[in-house]
This record gives sequence, C-alpha cells and structure tokens, in this order.
Amino acid sequence: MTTFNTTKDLDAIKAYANVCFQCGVCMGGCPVARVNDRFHPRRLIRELAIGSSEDVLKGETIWLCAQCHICSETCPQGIGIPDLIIGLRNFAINIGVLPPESFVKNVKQLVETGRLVPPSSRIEQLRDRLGLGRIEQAAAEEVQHLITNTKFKKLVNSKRENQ
Amino acid sequence: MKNEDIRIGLYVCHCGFNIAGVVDCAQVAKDSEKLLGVVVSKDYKYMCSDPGQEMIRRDVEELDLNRVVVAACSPRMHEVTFRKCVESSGVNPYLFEMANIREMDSWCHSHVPKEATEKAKDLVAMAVAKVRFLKPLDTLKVPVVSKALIIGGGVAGIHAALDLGDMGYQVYLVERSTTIGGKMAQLDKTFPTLDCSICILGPKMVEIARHPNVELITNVEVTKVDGYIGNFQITVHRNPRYIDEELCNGCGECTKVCPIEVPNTYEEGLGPRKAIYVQFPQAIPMRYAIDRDACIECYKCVDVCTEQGRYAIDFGMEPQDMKLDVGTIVVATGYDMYDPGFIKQYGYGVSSNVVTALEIERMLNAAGPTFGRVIRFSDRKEPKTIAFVTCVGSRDKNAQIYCSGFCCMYTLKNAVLLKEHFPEMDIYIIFMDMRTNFKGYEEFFNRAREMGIKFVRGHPDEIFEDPETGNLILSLEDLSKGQPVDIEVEMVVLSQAVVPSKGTKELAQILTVSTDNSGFFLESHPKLKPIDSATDGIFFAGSSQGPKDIPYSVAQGSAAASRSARIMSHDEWEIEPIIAYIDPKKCRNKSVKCGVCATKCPYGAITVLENQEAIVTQAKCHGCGTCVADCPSDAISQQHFTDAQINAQIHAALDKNPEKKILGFLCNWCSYAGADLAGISRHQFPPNIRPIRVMCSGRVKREFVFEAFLKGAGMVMISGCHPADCHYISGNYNAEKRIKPVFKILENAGINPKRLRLEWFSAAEGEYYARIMREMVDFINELGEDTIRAENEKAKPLLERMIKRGT
Repeated sequence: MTTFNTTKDLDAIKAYANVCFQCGVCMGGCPVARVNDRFHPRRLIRELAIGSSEDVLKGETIWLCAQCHICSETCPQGIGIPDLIIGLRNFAINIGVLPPESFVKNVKQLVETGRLVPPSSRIEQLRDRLGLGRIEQAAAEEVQHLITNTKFKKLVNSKRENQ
Repeated sequence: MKNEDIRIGLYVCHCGFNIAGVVDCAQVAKDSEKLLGVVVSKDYKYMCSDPGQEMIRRDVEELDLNRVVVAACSPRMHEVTFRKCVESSGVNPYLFEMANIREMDSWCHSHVPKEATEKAKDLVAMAVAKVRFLKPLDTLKVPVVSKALIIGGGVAGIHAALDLGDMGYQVYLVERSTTIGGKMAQLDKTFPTLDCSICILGPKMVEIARHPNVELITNVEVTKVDGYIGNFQITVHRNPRYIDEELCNGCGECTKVCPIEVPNTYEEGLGPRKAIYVQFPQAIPMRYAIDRDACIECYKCVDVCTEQGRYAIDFGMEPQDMKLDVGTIVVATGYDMYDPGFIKQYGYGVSSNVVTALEIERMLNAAGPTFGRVIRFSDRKEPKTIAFVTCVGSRDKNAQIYCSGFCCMYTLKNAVLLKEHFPEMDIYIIFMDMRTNFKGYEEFFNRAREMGIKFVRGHPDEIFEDPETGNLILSLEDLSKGQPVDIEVEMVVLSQAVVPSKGTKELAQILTVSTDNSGFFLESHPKLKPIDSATDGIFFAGSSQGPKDIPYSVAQGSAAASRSARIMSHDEWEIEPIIAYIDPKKCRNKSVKCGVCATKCPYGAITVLENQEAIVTQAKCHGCGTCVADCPSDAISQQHFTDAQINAQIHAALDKNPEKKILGFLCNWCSYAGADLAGISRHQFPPNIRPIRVMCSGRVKREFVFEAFLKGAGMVMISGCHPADCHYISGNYNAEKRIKPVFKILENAGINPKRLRLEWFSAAEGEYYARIMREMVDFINELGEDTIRAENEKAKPLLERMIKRGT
C-alpha cells in the first residue's frame, strides 16, 4: 500500500487512481456511503482518474471519508483509498481549500473535548440505566498540545485569513 | 587468421520503425564503417526478409566476406535465421554475431533517441569486436531416442500421448494420481455445448489404456531429469498401490468389504470413499489402490480378493524408482483450484453455505455425492436463491493478479445447468467483467440472460451469514445503479481462480526450465514459441503454462505432440557446439593435484585422473562455462565464449565515456531473456547498460570485472537466474561464490563496492530489470563521474596485479 503523506505530487495520486478498474468493492463495504449518498468512493477515484482533480479538491467528498480502512483491505487493485484521501486533504488545505463546516465542527469537538463525537446526554442516560458507568474524560489538553505543536492551528488560520 | 584477412560485413536493420523510429540506423552503419575489419556496412529496412538475407549472400560472394554482423533484434529471436543465411552463403555459421539494438535499445530507450543511437553504435562495436575473434565451429550431432515422456494425464497430456502414439512413437505417460483424467474428469458438463464431460473424455482415456504405443505409468512423480534434447534420462519415483495392476481386474469386491471411509478428493470431499478405492467408475487404469494413511490393515480386502481367486493385494509393495530414456518431454501438469478460504471476506470455511465452483459441479453431477441434487449444508435444504461470484482470487493483487480466463464461462455453465434443472430458482451472477471471447461463448452468455439469470455488475465487499436463517448477505455496489445494495441468497458459489498445480516449482527445477511471475511454466517466446520451453526438447501443454479451457488445452496437447515429433522424426539432431575444451599443454593436473574443473561441473562431464590432463566428455557438456571461469591455470576455454572474445567485447563497450556505463554480464536463459522482456514490454530506463551475453553467470571470471574497472567502467553487473533456478543446476551458485570476495577486493582497491552488483532475475522479470537499471544509473549520477574516475585511477595498480595473477 502506497501512502501519500506529502502534498507534492498530485499527478502521482492521479496515476495511482488510474489503476482502478471500477469494481465497486470500496463502495459495497463503505459504512459512510450506506448512510450518506453524497459520499461515493468509487466515483471519487473515477473523477480523479479521468475527471478534473480541481473539482475533487474543491468538493465536499474527500472530507466525508471516515478513514475506517475497510476499502483498503478489500480493494483488489491494492489502492489505499483512505491514504489517497488524506493526501488529497493535505493538498486541498495547501491550495487554500478549507473543509466544509461539518468537518470543522468535528475538529472543533476534538480540540475541545478530545473526542470527535462526544457522548451525548442520551447515551449517558442509557449507560446509567445499563449500569455501565460514566465514560472517562478524554485528554483534550494533549490534543490541543499536539495541534499547537504541529502548527495545525496556525496553518488553518492563515488559510482562513487568505480566503 | 591475421587481422588484415578478416573481412566483416555489417548490416544494420531498421525493423520498419521498430528500430529506425528511435535509432538513426544510417548513422550507425556509417560510423561503424571505420571499425577494424569491417569491409562493408549497410542499413536496410528488414534484414530478416528475403531481400535482406539475399543482400548478405551477395555481399559475401562479391566482397569475399568471411565474418557477418547483423544489428537487429535479440539473438534469441533471429540468430538461427541469420546463421542459416550465412551458412548458405558458404561462411561457417559460427562466424556470425548479432547486436541486439531492438529489445535492448530502441524499445527500452525510445524517449532518448540520441543516446539510443550512441548505444547502438557501442553494441555494434562490441559485436564487431567479438566476431573478429570467433572461430569456425562444427555443429555437434547427437542421436535421437524416438520415445517421448508426457508428464501429466489430464486432457492435454492425453491428447499429446495419443497423437504421438498414433504417429508411431513410443510414449510414456506418467501421472501422479492413481488415474488419468485430470480436472476434466471431475466436471459435470462442458461449455458452451453442455456435453457431458466424462462421456467425451472417457473414450480417450480408454484409448490410452489400449494404445499399443502408449505406456501408462500411474502413481509416479518425476524426480530426476538428466541429459539433453534427444537424450533425456528420466527417473520417476513410483509410489506403491499395494495392488498388483496385472492381477487386479477392477471387480470392486474389496471396496465393498472395506470398513474405512474417508472423504473422497475426487468429490471435493463431499462424498466418502473407502480406504481401498478407485477414484471414479471410469478411472484408467481401472485398478484399485490402497490409501495406507487410512487403512487399518484388517485384511478383509485380502480375504475377498483371495476368494475371487485373485491374489492382487500386496501389502509388502515397496516404492520403486524407474529409469526411462526419452528424446523429448511434454509437460502437461495442469492446474489447481485456488482455496478461497485465504480471502476471509468471502466467508468460505466460515459459512457452510458458501461453496466453490468445483463443489457445485460435483453436486450437479448425476453420479456425484448428492446424485444431482443441489443442497446447502447448514440445513440440507435445496436453495431457492443462489448467487455466483466471479473473480474470487483472480484479478486481485492480494491473491492472483492475472485473469484465470475460463471462470466466467464455467460460472455461466453452472448457472445455466441450475436454471435448466430448477427453473424456479432465482440465480444471480455477480461479475466485474464478463469475458466470453471464443467461439460460441458470447452466444452462451446470451442464452444465460434469455433464461432469466440475473446479472449484477459489481463485486461483494463481504459475504456474511445470517445466523438465524443461514442465508447469506452480500454487500456490494450495483455498479449499474451506482448504489450500495445487499443481496440475500440461500447459497453462494465462488468461482475460484486457477493456480499452478502443486509441485510446479519443484518440477521446474528438476527440468531446469523457468516459471513466470504467476508460477506457471514460462514459454520460450510468448508469440512464436508458445509451446516450447527455453530448454530444447521440453514442451508445455495445457494449463501448466497458464490457465486454459478444454479446447485450448487439447490444441496445445496436439501442438506439443507435433513439436516433439519434429525432433523425433530425425535420427540425429544438431546441437550447438558451445562446449568446454581443455588445452592439455596448460592443464596443471599433470604435475600437481588439481581437478577444480571436475568439482565445478554440474554434469560430471569432466574426468580428472591423477597425473593426467583433465578430459571433457563432449556429449555430457552442456556448455555453461563454469569450469572455464574457475580453472586456476586458464587451461579450459568455452567455444564461442572465449576469454579473448569476451575481453574484446569489454574493451569495445568501454571505449568511450566508460564512467557513465554499466557493463552487464547477462546469462542467456534468465537474465538476458528478462532484459529482452523489458524491451518487449517497452519499459523505459536510461541507456547506460552495455550487455554481454554469456550462457551462464557461472562463466563470468573475476578478471572480467577487474578488466572492466581497469577500462574505467562506472558499474559492473553480473546477473543470472534466481538461486535454485539455474539452467545449469549450480552455475549461479558458483558465480556467487566466486564473485562475493570481489566486493572486498574492490573496496581494498579503493572502489566503492556498490559499483559491482550481483543480481538474480528471471526471464519473466522485465519490469524488475528496468527498475534495477534505473537504480544503478541513479547511483552512477550520485557518485559523479569525477569520483568514479578517481576511484578507478587509484585502483589501477591493484586491478592490474589481480589480472596478472589470474592469467
């Protein structure tokens, strides 16, 4: 599995996507696609291979992936779709495309609570009733520490100002 | 012959645009005119064409040429053609040399035409340099044993055996199992006509048993192959049946009294068989066998056989080795079905209602374990809905990368049969692509759709069982709808991939033939020699060379028979005289105890007696040249690959800008063929390599490496077949042993040892060759010309000393 950690080579990502023979295994197992018809990993790869990469980068799709890695386990062509999507996200940020609000909200929650999805009061009640005890607080400070030290905040803020 | 007596004709082929589209052929011909010994230098559109060959013949006559060089395609392609042409014009065929400017130049450097042209000039100069040192040779004639060995009694092997037998040749058909028939005997029906499989195969099997020229030997494995074309000595290991084939008449009384039942492999384990058994009622030979792993030795079978008046059972039978002498070998060892349990998400082995194609094939068979009923195992009910899934383990980089070819068709066949038997059944075929590209196949696909079988384009991400109903849920994207769907069925059939049969790798090593990247046997040329192996006299038929359906396998069986007959129809066969010879004056065994050559020869072709010069037995020598490279007194030489000839090539290759060049020694069987494949597949890499073909990496002397660096080479590569795959059994091991210490010597001399590379790659690894070429050129660029030059300069005295010591 090839990984795209850098934002250097969009052409490499495109060439990689071109290997896909569109069998749809990624889509068959995708938990996001089951609940959100705006996310379609096979079409994302198709668009990258023969369509406009600009549309892909500016679109919402790349931000919807949950990074569960099911598709990269089952893809018969060994395409690491989640890694490819991370590469595209980095690329998008670099050219000043910011994630949609839904994604930003997730990140905010992560920074504030240490969790992408903090347990709701309903879940807390349910746990109480089942005698499962309270969920421990996540280490929000550590996440904040990471985000500051990796200059994530600075990067996002500077891009935001540019817009 | 004195230099001034050498008259070389040089011909540069355009090969249409194949070469001329990249290389400036006229320029190559013009610049090469000046090379020592060249009398005439021409370029022409197609040298292999009739007018091209005629041009050579005319020039030989008019200009009194005595050597010919053709710069064209790979010698693996047309060396024989031009040797014949040269011979017909009265010049010894071994006074000819080819420069490979197509596979190794224009095809793999098409993006850099200027450099490719420069490389072509070097390759021509190397060939001209070598041809000047060539000596006329007489071809060796060897007698041909007009018997053939066929390994594997499936449908391909059966047809090869019958054809050769009908032509009047003696045939040994050896089979690993207790019966012939192979995979085809397991099938219910055959596509696209739905003939009953055993009904059409059975008579052919009977014919094998009855044929006066075919000797069938079952329960054997080939363990050793010696010799060469026309004269192979085979050792087969025969496992005992514990039944005397002469005495058993196949009455079957024994099996009735046998108390032991084990799963029947012929029924894919779905039905039982006894410990004393025949695999199926049509088995040939119709003789029982005892499975000693299952047998409890109650001897009830012995009692009943004795009552019948026969004494066929013999528990004292021992395994035995048999020797067979044959002239040609046909390998028809077939394939195995891939075990889909390796890919967990298909649920095979997890849910009992997921079965393989061969399992349902047996169920559909009226004589099969369920007598034609299709049942699912969880509740023994007949399913009302079934899904077939194709490409299970095929076209999958996690399993087999290749398309197994005939799975689409057998999936259609099984679905059509099911629909015929059970018209009410709901049948899905879940497919990625439907490949139906032979006669009558697309029509069969139409028929399946007309019958109401539902086709869904897609591939399941996962198949899981509903624990309550035992039903299976396939989650996939219906590609035509573009939406994720769940399909629930009562039973799933997986169309497994086809993989090389067990033992293919081991047999390849015994035969000293190659396998491809997928593990199937590798043919000599993908288009023009699809039946031949790289070893003369050994042929492939059927799925041993790659997945094939029945008509294709039958055609290949007959083709292999015809290729064998082409050799066996002669009393004698000409073989290349590329063998070792010993200069008795130089051999030091007369005065000191040496005999190194005899220890290196993989064929025992060299005899060394005390106080006598070593002697090469010509008929035993295969011409690898390993003894030549290891002789401490330089007394052995290899015809057509002498030290003088190879040194001449080294000098010519490194004449200009040596620092940028990689001097490569490529073994004829794997590496050179692999490099050819890189060109044939148009893999592009920088043109720094100057290849020298040797028969085996074992031929490469240390002095060649020193000589190359002394001449200023940037890098040197020695390459051969993968360990254990050597065409000459152990040549590559000897090369490794000999070259390993050279890294240290170079380092001591001040040369970066990374500038020498020892590489093993097969004839199938063109892409790998291109990759190591790019790596090596990157390393040259990284070091820089100045460093290379300085290192070489510094090492000069030591290199000179090493060469002197060696000679």
